[in-house]
Amino acid sequence: MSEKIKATPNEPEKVDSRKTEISRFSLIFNKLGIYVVVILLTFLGMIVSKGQFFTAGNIQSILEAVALIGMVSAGLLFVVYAGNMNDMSIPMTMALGGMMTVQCINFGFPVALLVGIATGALIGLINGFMIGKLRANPIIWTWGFNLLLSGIVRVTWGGKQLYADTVARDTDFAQKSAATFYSIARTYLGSFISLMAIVMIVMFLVSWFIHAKTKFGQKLKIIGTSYDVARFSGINCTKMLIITYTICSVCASIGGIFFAALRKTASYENGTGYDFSCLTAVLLGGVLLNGGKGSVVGAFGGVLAYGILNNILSWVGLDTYSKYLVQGIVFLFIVWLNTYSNRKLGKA
Amino acid sequence: MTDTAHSGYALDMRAVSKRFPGTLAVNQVDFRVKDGEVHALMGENGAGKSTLMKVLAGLYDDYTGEIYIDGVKRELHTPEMAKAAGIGMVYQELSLARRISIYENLLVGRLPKKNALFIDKKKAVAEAKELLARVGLGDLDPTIDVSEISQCDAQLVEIAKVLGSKPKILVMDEPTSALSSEEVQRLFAIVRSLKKQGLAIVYISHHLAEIFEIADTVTVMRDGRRVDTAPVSEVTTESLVEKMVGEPIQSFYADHSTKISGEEVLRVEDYTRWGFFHHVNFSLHRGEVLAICGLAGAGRTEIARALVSVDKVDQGKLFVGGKETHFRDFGEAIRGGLGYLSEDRKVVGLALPQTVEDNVLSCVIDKYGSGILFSAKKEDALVQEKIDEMHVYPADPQRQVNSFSGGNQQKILMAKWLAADVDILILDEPTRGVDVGAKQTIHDAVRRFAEQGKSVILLSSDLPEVVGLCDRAVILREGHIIGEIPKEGITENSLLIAANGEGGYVTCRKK
Amino acid sequence: MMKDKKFRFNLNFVNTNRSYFFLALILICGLFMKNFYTAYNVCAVTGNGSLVIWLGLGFTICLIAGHMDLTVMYMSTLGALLCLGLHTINGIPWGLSILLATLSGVAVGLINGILVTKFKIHSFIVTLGMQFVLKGLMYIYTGGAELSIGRDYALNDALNAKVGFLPFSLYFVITTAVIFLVMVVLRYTRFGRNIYMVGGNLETAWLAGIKSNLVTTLTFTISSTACALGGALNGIYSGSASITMGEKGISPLMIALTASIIGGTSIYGGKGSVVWTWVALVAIAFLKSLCKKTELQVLVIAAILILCIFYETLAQYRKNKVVGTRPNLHLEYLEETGKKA
Repeated sequence: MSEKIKATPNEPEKVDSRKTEISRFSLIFNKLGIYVVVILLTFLGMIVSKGQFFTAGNIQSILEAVALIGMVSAGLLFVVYAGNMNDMSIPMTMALGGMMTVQCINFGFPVALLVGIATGALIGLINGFMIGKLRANPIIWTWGFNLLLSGIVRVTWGGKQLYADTVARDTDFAQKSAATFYSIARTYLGSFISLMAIVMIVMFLVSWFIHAKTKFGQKLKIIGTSYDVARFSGINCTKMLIITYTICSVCASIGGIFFAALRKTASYENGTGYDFSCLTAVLLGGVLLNGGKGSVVGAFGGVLAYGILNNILSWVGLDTYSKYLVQGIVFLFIVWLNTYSNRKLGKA
Repeated sequence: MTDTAHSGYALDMRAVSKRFPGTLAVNQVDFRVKDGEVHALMGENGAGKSTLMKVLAGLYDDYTGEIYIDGVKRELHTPEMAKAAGIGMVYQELSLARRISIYENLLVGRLPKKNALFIDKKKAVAEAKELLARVGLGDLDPTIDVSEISQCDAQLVEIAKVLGSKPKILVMDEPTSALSSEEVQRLFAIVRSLKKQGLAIVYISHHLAEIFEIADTVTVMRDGRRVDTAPVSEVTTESLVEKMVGEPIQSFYADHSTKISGEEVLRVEDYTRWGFFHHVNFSLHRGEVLAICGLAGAGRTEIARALVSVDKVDQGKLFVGGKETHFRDFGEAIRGGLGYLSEDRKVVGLALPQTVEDNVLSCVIDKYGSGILFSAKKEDALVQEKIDEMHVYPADPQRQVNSFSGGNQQKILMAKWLAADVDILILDEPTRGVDVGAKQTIHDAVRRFAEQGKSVILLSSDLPEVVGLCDRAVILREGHIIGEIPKEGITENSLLIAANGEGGYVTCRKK
Repeated sequence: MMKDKKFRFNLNFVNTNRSYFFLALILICGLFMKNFYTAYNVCAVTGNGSLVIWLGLGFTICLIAGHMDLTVMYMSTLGALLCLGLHTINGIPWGLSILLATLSGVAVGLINGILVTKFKIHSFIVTLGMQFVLKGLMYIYTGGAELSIGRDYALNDALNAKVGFLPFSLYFVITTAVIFLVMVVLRYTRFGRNIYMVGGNLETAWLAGIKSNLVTTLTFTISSTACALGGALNGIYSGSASITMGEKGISPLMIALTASIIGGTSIYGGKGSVVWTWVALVAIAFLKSLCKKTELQVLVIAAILILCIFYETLAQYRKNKVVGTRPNLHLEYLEETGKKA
C-alpha cells in the first residue's frame, strides 16, 4: 500500500530507543548467530553418526565438500552483498576455468593455472560491464551468459570431457604438470587438512579483508543498500560492480580448477548446481538478499553449516534426491528468515 | 441531506482543519468552487495548499470541518470515498503504465465486458476515444502504448483517465511544470472545454502568468490559513505575491556578514544540455551564497547535476578557480571540491538502513582511506564532530538512519556533505520536509560554511530561506537564465515575481 | 525526417515480430535439408517439442506479471510421474490420473503465489527453492525409478496419432489449442489484462482497485497447472517419465526462458505473448531437427538469447538517458523573447 503523496513532512517522528536495542542484537545475531547453528548441527551430527562424526575420514569429507562451495562462496558473497541477488554464470565459470587450465597444461602448471583464473576474470569483467554500466537485469543476464558459455564450451570441445594426463603431451614436463594439477586436490598437511581447505580459508581471509577493511568493502556497502544513493555519493558504481563480479568469477574459476583436479575431469558439467548451493550457504551466513548487510565471518559460518548439514543428511541415509528436498526446504526457510531479518534490521 | 446554505457550489469546504503532531497544517480554511469555475489555489510551500488538497483526496481520515459536494455533505476519509464523492485528482507524477496501451490505462480496472467472460475491445477503444476527445486527443490511437506518446500527451491522457471516473471536481496539481508554452496552451484549451462541460476545477500552480490566463478566481493561502479569495480580474501580480508572502515576519533570519572577496571560484559559460537548460552563464564567488531561483521545472536540479557531472552537458565550459575543468564523474567532482546535496534524501540521499557513521562517511571513503584500506573507526572523531555540529539527536553514530526523524535525517545528510570538506557546495532543497529547529540548524551551518570562505549554490523554493541566506540570486526560467538580483533586491516578492519572468530584474523578457 | 520514421518503423516491426522472423528463417533453412519436410519429421519434431511449450506457457505468463517461475520444469516432471505412477502403480484410470496430476500443479502454484505475495519473497528465489523441493518429492514418490505406461497403449497411440490430414500429433494439437485458449484469456478477459497491468506498473494496478495479490497468485497457479498437465500428457505421449527427463542438452527450463525472451516477452514485465513463445519454441524444435549436434544447438540458441537480452538492455539504457527532456524548450524561448538562434 503506498500513498501517492507522502504525508506532510512536518511531523517529527518519535525516536524509538527500543528499536536500537533490537537492532544491535540483530546485528550481532546476523554475524555470529550462524555459529550457534554450526555448533548445534555438530551436536546433531555426533548423535546421528553415532560417534563417528569426528573421525579423520568424516572431517575430511566435510572439508572436501565445504572447500569447493567455500571457494566459490567467498566470491559470490560480494555479488549478493552488492544487491544483485545471485550470479547464475557460476556453473560455467567453474567449468570453463577447469577446462582452460587443463587445455593449457602443456605450458606448465603455473601458466595453466593463470590462464584458468584469467578466464574467470574475463567472464567477471563482462558481467560487471553489462550489469554495472548498462544495468542489465543481473539474473537474466548472468543466466543467459551462462548458456552462451555452455554453448561455446560444448562447441569448442565437441561436448567431450578433458583429462589432464591425456591433454598433456608425452614430454616429461607436460606429464609432470598434469600430475601437479591432479595433486592440488590431493595434498594434505597433517592428517586431514587438505590444501583445498587451506586455499578456501585463505580466500575467505582475503574476502574478509576486502569486505571489512578496504575502501572497496565500505563503498560496496552503500551500493548494496542503494545503487542511486551510491551514485549520488560520488561512488563510481560501474567500476565497483565490475570489480565485484570479477572477484566472484575469479573465485568461481579457482573453485572450478580444484573441482577438475579433484574429479580428474574437466567438463562443461562441472559446477552444475553450485549457483544454488553457494547462494544457500551465503544466505545461511546472514548476507541479506537486499544487499548492504552481512559479513564474511557469517558467510563462512554459512558454508560450514551447509557442509555439516549435508554430512548429517548422508549419515541419516538420505540419498541425493531426498537431500534436494531438505535443501529446498532449508533454502526457503533461510530466505524467509532473511526477509524477516531485513525488516528487523530496519529495511522496511 | 441538502444543506440550505448550498448556493450552487460544486465544492464547499468549511472550516477545514488538519493537524499533525506539532503543527496545524490547515487552519479553519473555507474554500468554494462553483460548477464551471477554474479556481486557482496559490501559496508558498508550507502554506497548506497541498495538505488541503490531500484532505480533499481522502488521504486523511482525521480532518475537522465540513465538506459539501453539490450541496451534499460528504465524509472523505479514504481515497475510495473521495473518488465516489466525485473528486478527481490529477497529480504531477503520472499514474500510467508505460508498456501498456492507452485505452487499457484509461479504463484500468473497469474494462467493459462483452459477456461474462470476454472484454469488449471495440467498446473499450470507443470509450477511450471519447475520453481522449474530451482532452483534445481525439485523433490519438488508443491502442498504442503510453511509452510512444509525448510527455504532454501523456499528461492529457492522465487527465482523461481521471475524467473517466466522472468527477464533479477536478484538482490539477502543477500540471504545466513539464510542458512547453505551446503545450500549455493545449492544456488550457482542454481546461476551458472542461469548464464548459460544467466541471469545477481547482488549479494549483506557482506560475502567475498562467493563473491570469486560465483562472477565474484565485485563493491565496499562507501558514495554513486562507488569506484571501478574489476574482482574477481584481488582482495584480504584486498584490498576489504580497498576499502569498505576507509581512516579512521572518526576522529570525538576521542579517549576517559575509566576506565576498570577489574572487571567482566557479563559472559556467554557455552551459547547455539540450532539452533541459540552455546557454547558462553565471559565476560564483568566494564566501558567497548564490541562489538559483526559479519555479519547479525550470531546470535547477538539472544544472546542479550537470555541475557535478552526474549528467553530462552537451555544450559549454566549466571553470573552477579560474581554470577550465572537466570532471569525468561525480567522484572526481567531489575530489575537485564540488559537492551536491540532492533533493530527495530518502531515495538518493541517505542509505537508510545503514548507520549514521556509514552515511556521513559515504562520500569520503576514498579520501580518508590509506591506500586500499579504510576504517570507519579511525574517522570516529570526524563523524562525531559533524553530527555534534549539526545537533543530530540522539548523537549516536552507530544508530541506523531510518530510526531518526525527518529533520534529523536531513541534518545527517548535511553532516555528510560537511564531512566531505568541499569548497563549493550545491544544496538542493536542503530544508524540505524539516521541522523548524532543524531548519535553523541547517541554515546556521550554511552560514558558517560561507563564512569560512567557501561558497554555496542554493536551489530552494522556500522563499524566506533564500532571502535569509543568499547574497545574490540568478533567475532561471524554462532552462534559461533571465536575470540576476543583487542582495539589496532579494525579497520574497521580487524572487517570486522574477521566477515568473516578470519584474525589474528580468533582462530577457517575453515579447 | 520521414526516412528516419520509416526506418524506425521497420526496426520496431522486426523487433516486435522477431519470433515469426526466427521461425521463418528456420523453416527456410529447412528447405535445404533432406527429410525435413516429411510428415513423419514434422509430426515427430512438433510432438517432441510440445512439452516445452507447456513450460513456455507458464514461464511467459509469469514473466508478463513481472515474475519468474523456475519450477516449470520439475512441475511437468512431477505431473508426468504422478500421472503414470497413479495409473500403473495404483491402478487409477487415466482420466483421474491426469486430473490428479494436474491438481498437484494447482497446489504448487498456489504455494508459489502465496510465498511471493504474502511473504514478499522475490519470485526467483521462491521458485529456485521450490524446484528442489519438487525434485525431492518426486524422488520420494518414485524411488528414482523410471515410470512407463506399461502395456496400456491406447492413450499413447491416440496422442501420437496424426490429426486429420495435418502432419501434427494430437498431443501437439492439444498443446497448441491450450496456448490459443490462454492467449484468448490474456487478450480478451479482464483477468488477462490485469496480469499485464500488474506486470506493467504494480502501483497503478493496485491504485485502480485491481487485486494484485490475487492476480499474481492465480498467474503462478495457472503456470504450474499447465506444466503439470503438459507433463502428464507428455508422459503418456512418450510412454515414459523419469526424474532426469530432459537433463541432457539444454535444460527445458532454460529453453522456456530463452523462448520467452527471444519471442519478445519483456524482461521487465507488462508486455509479451504466449503466442510469440509458442512460435519461438516451434522454431527451436525445428532448429534441433536441422542441426543434430547438441553443442551447436546450444550455441545458436544462446547467441540469439544474448542478442535479445543485449538489445532490450541497451534500449532501456538509452531510454533512461533521455527521461524528462523537453525537446522544444530552447526554440520556444527564442521565439518568446524574439531572439535569434
